Amino acid sequence: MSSQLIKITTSDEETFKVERSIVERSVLLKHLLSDLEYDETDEDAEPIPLPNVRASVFKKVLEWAEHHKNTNFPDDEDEDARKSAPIDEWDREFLKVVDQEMLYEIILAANYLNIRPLLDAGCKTVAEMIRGKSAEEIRRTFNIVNDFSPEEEAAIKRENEWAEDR
Amino acid sequence: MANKRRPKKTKPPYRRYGPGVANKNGASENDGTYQYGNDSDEDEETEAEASATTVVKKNIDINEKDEDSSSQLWPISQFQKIDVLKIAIINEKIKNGEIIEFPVNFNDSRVKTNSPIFPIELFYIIFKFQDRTNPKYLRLSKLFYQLYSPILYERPILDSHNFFSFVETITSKKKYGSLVRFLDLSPIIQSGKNSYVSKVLRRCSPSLEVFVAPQTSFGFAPLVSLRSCNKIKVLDLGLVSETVNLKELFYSIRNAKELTHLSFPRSSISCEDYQITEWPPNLWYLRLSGGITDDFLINSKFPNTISRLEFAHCPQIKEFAIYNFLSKFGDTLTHLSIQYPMPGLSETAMDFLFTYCPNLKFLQITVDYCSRFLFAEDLLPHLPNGKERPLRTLWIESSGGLGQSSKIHPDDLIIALMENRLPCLKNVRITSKLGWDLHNEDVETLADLLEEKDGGLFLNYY
Repeated sequence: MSSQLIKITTSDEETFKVERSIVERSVLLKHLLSDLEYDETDEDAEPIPLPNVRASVFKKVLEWAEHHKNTNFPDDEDEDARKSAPIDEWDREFLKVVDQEMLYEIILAANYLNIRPLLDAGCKTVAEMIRGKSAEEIRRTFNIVNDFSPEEEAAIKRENEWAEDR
Repeated sequence: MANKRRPKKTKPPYRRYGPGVANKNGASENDGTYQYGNDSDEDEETEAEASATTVVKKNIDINEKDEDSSSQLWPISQFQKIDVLKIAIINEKIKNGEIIEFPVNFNDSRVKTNSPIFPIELFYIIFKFQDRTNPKYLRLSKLFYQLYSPILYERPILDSHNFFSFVETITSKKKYGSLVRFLDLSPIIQSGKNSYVSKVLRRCSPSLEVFVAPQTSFGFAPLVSLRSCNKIKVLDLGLVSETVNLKELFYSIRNAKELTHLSFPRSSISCEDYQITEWPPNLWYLRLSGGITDDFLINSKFPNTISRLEFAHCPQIKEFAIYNFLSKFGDTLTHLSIQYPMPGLSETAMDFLFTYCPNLKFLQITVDYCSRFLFAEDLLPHLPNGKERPLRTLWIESSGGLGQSSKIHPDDLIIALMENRLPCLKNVRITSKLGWDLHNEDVETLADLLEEKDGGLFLNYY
């Protein structure tokens, strides 16, 4: 049965053999397979390289895809609907147990592989994470360099005071 | 005669501004003064030619410096930035076969540590997923300021506490105003000023798509400012208590070709010269309220595009004017609301609705203006050619006045459903003021019938 699986090699040269239905959760890989007319029955088929995803991250993505193998995600392009939909309970737990570095890598992998439900769940988790943090904490968390002068920063704060939490 | 006392002209030291200078005259590198137009240009050129190889080295230094001084904002390209002008100038002086190597260290820890974790489009999604906007994200860095300003200003949440400071901000910085797309001033009660509302409208006019007017402070000046809002799609004047002149209103929105929703002021509207009114061509939602007259409803040239119509707070409107309107536009209507109060209507005035509007998908009716005959076989017949009546949702409201509770009984609806005269009806919402007993067998039967169709009977308590 292993010949029915699709071979995928991650950036650290680890090869995974995955069912087509699970691989096709990624829009990138789905299009790739159809464009290449990939034949999983061919044992000599070259593995598909994923140069931007590490094996440990890909394992987690596969775990997510395996769980959602039969889930029907709404094909909704509406940004408001995407925003208002709550995070799936399983996804919340799944992303809660991984450490922060892994969470970021999962999000980047979901973005690269074009897995929108996973990307949305990841981004919502991060959005919840930074909600109560100060600007300085957010800079530290995301490695952002503050290129404002103190005067500029104070001016921006003053200008946008109307939007501060009351 | 020559003035011998005048000092001789001194030749200013020439410094060529370009590649090769620094190595030729290292001492003058930091003096910071140089002048143009000296005639010793040619001499300099030959020297520059001789030092072509050192130029390349110098160039590398410059590039290294560039990397340091370049903005540390993400994303930093992993390709080396090359000064095209310098390369173009020195290129011909490089010997054939000589390779210029720019030291690019991809493992440079600075590149890694200075780039944010996510690409910018992911930050955009993360910020969009925030429940509430917060100006702290503007202050993260200049890049985030550019990224987050449109998100913060797209839909400002305003109330009487922050309205004035918002006005000040968009007055002092025009850029902010042009980012506003949705402006809901309904929470500004008794704390606005005509001039402020007018100013806000003017500043926000370039991109404004949705505007909900405040209850007060919407006089003539804001109406004039509306003229510049050419992209407006939704204009809700429903709360406005000041008298709005209909002629002025239509003059203000004559350029708003994209306007699709229009709500009239509920309290008052002066309605003269309606013949010359020009309706927005793409209007499909219209809420009529205030002092509109029967003549206006009968004679004004409404656009054929209207598919959703609401009547509320129209003291002067009579039954015949509504039916006259429905005889012209009833076929195209998919949503119709007749809300309390409409004092000009009799207690059975709206019984004939279904005969005029065969394509309704949604109906909100107040029991004060209809009776059980609304669902009778004569007034709710099967549609010709076996067509199914598309009504899916029915809201039955009531003012709660005396005698209203006995006007419509659940049986009336049950019979219409059993006879398949409302084959698509799934959801019925009733108000508690209707007086239906939820434990009554008839109400339960109605609920069961609707649940069989994957819908239900819903009750609200206001």
